[in-house]
Amino acid sequence: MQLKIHNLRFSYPQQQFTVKADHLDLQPGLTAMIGENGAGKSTLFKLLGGLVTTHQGKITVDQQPLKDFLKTERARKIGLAFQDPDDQFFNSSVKKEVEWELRQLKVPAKKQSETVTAVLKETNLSQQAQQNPYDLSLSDRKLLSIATVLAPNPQIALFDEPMIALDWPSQQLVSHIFTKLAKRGHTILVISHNLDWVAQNVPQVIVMGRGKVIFAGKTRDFLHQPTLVKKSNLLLPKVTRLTMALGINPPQYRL
Amino acid sequence: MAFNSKIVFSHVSVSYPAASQPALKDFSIRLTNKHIIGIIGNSRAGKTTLCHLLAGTLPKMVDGEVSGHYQINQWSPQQDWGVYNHQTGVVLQDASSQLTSFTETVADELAFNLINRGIQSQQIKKKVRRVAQLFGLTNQLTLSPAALSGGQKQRLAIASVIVTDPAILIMDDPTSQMDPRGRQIFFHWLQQTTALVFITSYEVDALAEVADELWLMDKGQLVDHGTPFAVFNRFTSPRIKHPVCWQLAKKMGWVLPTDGQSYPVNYQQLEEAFHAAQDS
Repeated sequence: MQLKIHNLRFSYPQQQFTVKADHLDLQPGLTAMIGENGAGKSTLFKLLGGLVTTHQGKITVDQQPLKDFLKTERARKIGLAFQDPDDQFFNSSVKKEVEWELRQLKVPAKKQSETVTAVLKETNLSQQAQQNPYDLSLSDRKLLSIATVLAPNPQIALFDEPMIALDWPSQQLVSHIFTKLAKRGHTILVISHNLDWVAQNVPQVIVMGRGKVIFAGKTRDFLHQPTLVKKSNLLLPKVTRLTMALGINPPQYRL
Repeated sequence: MAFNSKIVFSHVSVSYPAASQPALKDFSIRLTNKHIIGIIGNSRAGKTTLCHLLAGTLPKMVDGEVSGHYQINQWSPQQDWGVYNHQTGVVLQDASSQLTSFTETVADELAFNLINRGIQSQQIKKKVRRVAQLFGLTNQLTLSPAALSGGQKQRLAIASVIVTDPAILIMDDPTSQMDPRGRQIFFHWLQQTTALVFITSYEVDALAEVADELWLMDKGQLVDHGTPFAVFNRFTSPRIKHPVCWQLAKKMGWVLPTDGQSYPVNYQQLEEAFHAAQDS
């Protein structure tokens, strides 16, 4: 499923800051959105998820304008996990939280139960199924927000900084989930500050700076332009910086 | 710079109501003259619980049963709470939850703790400007804190804490939402501060550069402690992420000439191991 942006402009009321994106094409596969704090990443994320709307420009999903979608149709096609997971939980248990969207989408009861069990297992939350989401640690709440997106199996899934507060094994688990979904043809967009992870795992990047899209394309094409990396106020992956400082050839980017 | 600090934990355990396992089990350590203590470990290791103990918020505000004795410098966070609380600056894991939520601008939020301490307005303005510049918030001073991005809120939470120059800093994963440059600036600042710092973080590369002591925790227990060099070379489980310097050196076979078997954990050591490998 293809997500496209055409001449998009968006400003929050009473703020000077504007997000501008002329043309952006999000294809099936794994894409990272990177950029400094306040660059407009989360705003673009909300626009792509249909959480905020604008009259200037348009977003289409397989040529169909996003704003014409019914809410249930949008929920079936696009999944969202917020930067702050507490913005999205309102059920009394982890299990009910994962079930909720399946119920809204009228998934048959047996299928609901099977999906919830499988998704909780996949995100390592089976033991916490009966707990209140707000009694979980921040890292488990982040995993739960990912689980709620996985359950309805949307073709497009958007994750705002999903790795925050995750320990090393959980980061590897989540990275594996994203890669698996991308291989199955889902369109996955992940906001991240971890360029080391992006360089090793994500083939496409969208780079934001001061509300604008500075670059969109192959990750290695971005990383091979140090002046552009500097302009976007980002840093090259750690191993690249270390090898450059030692005066030896940095390792090749695989993606 | 010599740091005159004293940290004592003697058989400290913490249990939360209705939890089947203690969050902290028989935690004991005795250290002097440390500056930056990095606390690492995977989820449910007890890092946040330790931060609550160090901040004195457990059992004062967070419900939990605490046993054992602990002391930071000359204070017991439990018994000397009134005095101790004035010495500490605490940055929570969820930074946005510690903003006051009733100040109208970022400048007001930064000034809030200073006003409460009765500091003169000229001085407040100066301190606010300085800390805003340090954390890249100068252009946001007139904005509402609610209008900031996640990473900017985290910068604001840290800036509002350090603006009062606390003698003891307790920070729970403070840079998780910051961009790479913000992290670089933060850890550079951390190295310069004269405060005694306790910091949990998954940024093992940064900790290996700045910390003089690392506590490795697992399932509520202290598994190992010492310099980052000692801990990362002793504990080689893939369940704990190692600094990129260490990973790179291991891959290339660059060992430190001092013992001919340990791998570097920070850049200075990496250079040393690299040149030793070139010379041999």
